Amino acid sequence: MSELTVVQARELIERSPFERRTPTPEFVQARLAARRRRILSGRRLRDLDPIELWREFLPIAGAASSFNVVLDTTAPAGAALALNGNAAYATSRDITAQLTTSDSPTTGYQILIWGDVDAAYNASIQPTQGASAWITPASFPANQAVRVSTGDGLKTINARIRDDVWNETATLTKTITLDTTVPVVSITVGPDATKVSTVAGKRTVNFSFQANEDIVAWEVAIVANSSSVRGSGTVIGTTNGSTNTTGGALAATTNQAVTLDARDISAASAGDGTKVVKVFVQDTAGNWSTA
Amino acid sequence: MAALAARHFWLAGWGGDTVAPGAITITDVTASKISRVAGKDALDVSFTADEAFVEYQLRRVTAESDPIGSGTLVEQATVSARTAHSATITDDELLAAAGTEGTNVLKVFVKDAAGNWSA
Repeated sequence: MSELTVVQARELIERSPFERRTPTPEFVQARLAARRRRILSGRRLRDLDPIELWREFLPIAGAASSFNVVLDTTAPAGAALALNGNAAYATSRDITAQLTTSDSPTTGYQILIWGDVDAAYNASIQPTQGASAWITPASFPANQAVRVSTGDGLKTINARIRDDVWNETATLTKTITLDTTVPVVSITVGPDATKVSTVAGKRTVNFSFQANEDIVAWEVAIVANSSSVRGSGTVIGTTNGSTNTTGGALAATTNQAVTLDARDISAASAGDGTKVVKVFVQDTAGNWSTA
Repeated sequence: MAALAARHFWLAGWGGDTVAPGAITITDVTASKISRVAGKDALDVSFTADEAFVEYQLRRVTAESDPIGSGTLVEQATVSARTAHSATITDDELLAAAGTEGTNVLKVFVKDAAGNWSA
């Protein structure tokens, strides 16, 4: 809630720890006019802070010889940290650290993040806890942008949550592997033909490829040129007899045989002439080959 | 004779203040929630009375209507005669007064120069 009317605020106050518990009829009578003036003023309050609201409505609440104070010595419950949605890998240095708590409301709650980060990216998020600063997120779950340090490898991110009276959780720690290196694919066997037709006996071309690291997917596509990237061309189908034009996991340096039928090549790219066939592979981190 | 008159006057004056301070008003509280963490472990409460007081008590009570002596004493001090005062309540004081996790009701009592405590 970012803004509330005076009427809404009054209702809030009446539910708050500062509620006047035993207003006398004389008190109500004496304050009625002032209350009407305030409510009818249309003034809006932008802050939910009960103290400020209480001060605002003190003339309405009138005299009271007691007040309530909440003693809170409990750290936020159900605290959790997730990096990129608990992904094992990140292909970019820019990741999202999500902090959650089962507490509600979370007004005034803050987060502290430190670890293997780029210290220049955010002054409040530094390599050490002591150098970092508390951040007030817009809401919870808090999704905080973090730029991890340079260099592929395991990155450790730590975080804490504290409530509005600074009760802190224990340190939450998660890791994510930064992998920005694209896999390299090589044609290791063939192709056994450089010219095909749709005539039986001359309509297939065979070749094998391998990747330099474990992959989770591959695609064989007709592209515009050898530098084309994945997605820019058309993946060759298997309707007319082509095989293995797409696939899943494959260990590093393992040859994978592919057969292309001219009719499937034509379906992917109509017309006679030179066709550029390119193999794309995706590593376990999600990077697709380019070269 | 003059001494007797003066004495009689003094007795009449002493006997004339049996009225307890009537209206205590909490005018400000700097925090509605405190913890054990330094920086968030105290609050200031300001209050006024409708007559000068020389002593006050802050007690953890169960209801605003609770009288002096009820509940648990949180803080007590004697002061020079005044009608307004600010006191600081710490987490240690609250816990020492059997303050519990959650909401605690604190009530201000003041005593006038004649020894009358507010209700």
